[in-house]
Amino acid sequence: MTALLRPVLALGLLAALWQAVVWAAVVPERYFPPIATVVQAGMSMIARGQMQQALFDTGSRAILGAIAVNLIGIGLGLAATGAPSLRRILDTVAAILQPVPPAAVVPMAVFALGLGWKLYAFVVVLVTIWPPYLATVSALAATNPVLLSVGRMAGFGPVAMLWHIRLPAAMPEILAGVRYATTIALIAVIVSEMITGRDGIGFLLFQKAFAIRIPEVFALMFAVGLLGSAMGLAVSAVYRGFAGWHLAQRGRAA
Amino acid sequence: MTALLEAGGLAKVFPGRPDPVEILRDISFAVAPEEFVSIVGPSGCGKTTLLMCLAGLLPPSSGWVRFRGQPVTDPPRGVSVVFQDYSRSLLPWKSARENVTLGMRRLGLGRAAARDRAEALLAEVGLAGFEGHFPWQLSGGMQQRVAIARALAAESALLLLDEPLAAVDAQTRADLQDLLRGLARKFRQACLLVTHDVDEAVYMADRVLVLSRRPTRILREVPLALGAERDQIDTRERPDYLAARHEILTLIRAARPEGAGA
Repeated sequence: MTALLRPVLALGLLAALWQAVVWAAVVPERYFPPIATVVQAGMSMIARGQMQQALFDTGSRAILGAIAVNLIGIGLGLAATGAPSLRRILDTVAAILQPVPPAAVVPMAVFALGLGWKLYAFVVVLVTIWPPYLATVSALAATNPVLLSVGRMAGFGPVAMLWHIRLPAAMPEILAGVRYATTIALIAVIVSEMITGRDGIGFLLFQKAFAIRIPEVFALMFAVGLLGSAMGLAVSAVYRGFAGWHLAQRGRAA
Repeated sequence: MTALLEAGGLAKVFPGRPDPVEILRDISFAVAPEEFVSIVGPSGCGKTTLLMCLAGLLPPSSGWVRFRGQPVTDPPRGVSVVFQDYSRSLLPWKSARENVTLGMRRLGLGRAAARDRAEALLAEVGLAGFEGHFPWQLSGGMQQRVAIARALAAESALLLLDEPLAAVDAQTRADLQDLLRGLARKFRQACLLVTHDVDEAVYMADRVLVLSRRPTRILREVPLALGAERDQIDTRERPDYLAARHEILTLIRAARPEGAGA
């Protein structure tokens, strides 16, 4: 009940605050339209099929990209944990590439990879893979030594130790990396769409903004917000599945 | 009687800066089957390091450990450890029952048999009804009971106890002392209890080994004849209990490093 009531209340509060700003006329109404106008603009984009198409384009890129990149990142983390020489190479690459923002990568990639899925795959992988990789490597290296002793007393070899002790213990930290990567994946896709200028929410946001169709820009912003929230909720569900004990433990300690 | 566990000339030096740190120097002793031996020493004398070497979790720098006549290099079957810090030694993502079945892994039992045995052992340590609870849903004393049940689950001939009761309150501590002693006798297990608490060492044991300060040697071996049945009130008032306690406390006070706290 409260779980359902809270987001509704939050949305209501946001709408009220929005309307208060409009009535206070701090910003010209032309650039900050009433909430009803924004809803209307969104409805008309839905009626034309434009909103659904953009959400599908952006959503499929971001969601598939996030899933793939998290799996690859965790896989690389596992491989690097097993092979220290690979880890040294990957850590160096990560140190160089991690600070590069998605917007800096796209112009070069457009020429090399065209405007299709390859571009998005490249940008998302390049800027998003590091959080799950680094989280996996650092969490697997930091297993509490008493648990390792417990595993050894139970007769675990390296593989059983990884599967029964190190990986479950590392899950909360790994999934924190996954949550962060999932957020950046959406940002990377939207920035890429803005620069490539063909389709998706990023493209529409730019197009509507330059056409000064402000209510539609706001409607698109809400759509991105909803998409991002949905992806966040999906990560939370995965977290509860693999590391729910950690939340419960923390909840009890707090 | 042949020894169950033997250590000879055991030494452990850790590489350190600027100088290597010598923790253990020349530890030799034996534990007979079904014997209860306590090891006491001043704080920081390397009791846990010694236990890790005996369990096969840490290689000694020199000297040897044998269990049932076989050299110990890895944790051998037939030895279980109850670790000091129960909050770190239980798997927080597993229930009490699953934590106990982890201890049975080397017995090769089927899933159903392991489950039944785990529940029987949890009942044995007074946790019937808590099988499905997770460690963080249990009090400290209850968590250590789960860890004790897990150590018992391996059907080991030897239990190594690393200050298992250091972190629980006094009443729980007394209860768990009697529980541990009772179960060790019931399952005919030898126990090696490492502790800094002289009263606990004497109350629980058939024999007490007193350690020096670092680099650690065995200062004295104190045999006890307090009988098989111990009582928290009566045993602790026996003249031979008090004499042993006096002897050990005097040794440890003399062994404390200069300037150590009271």
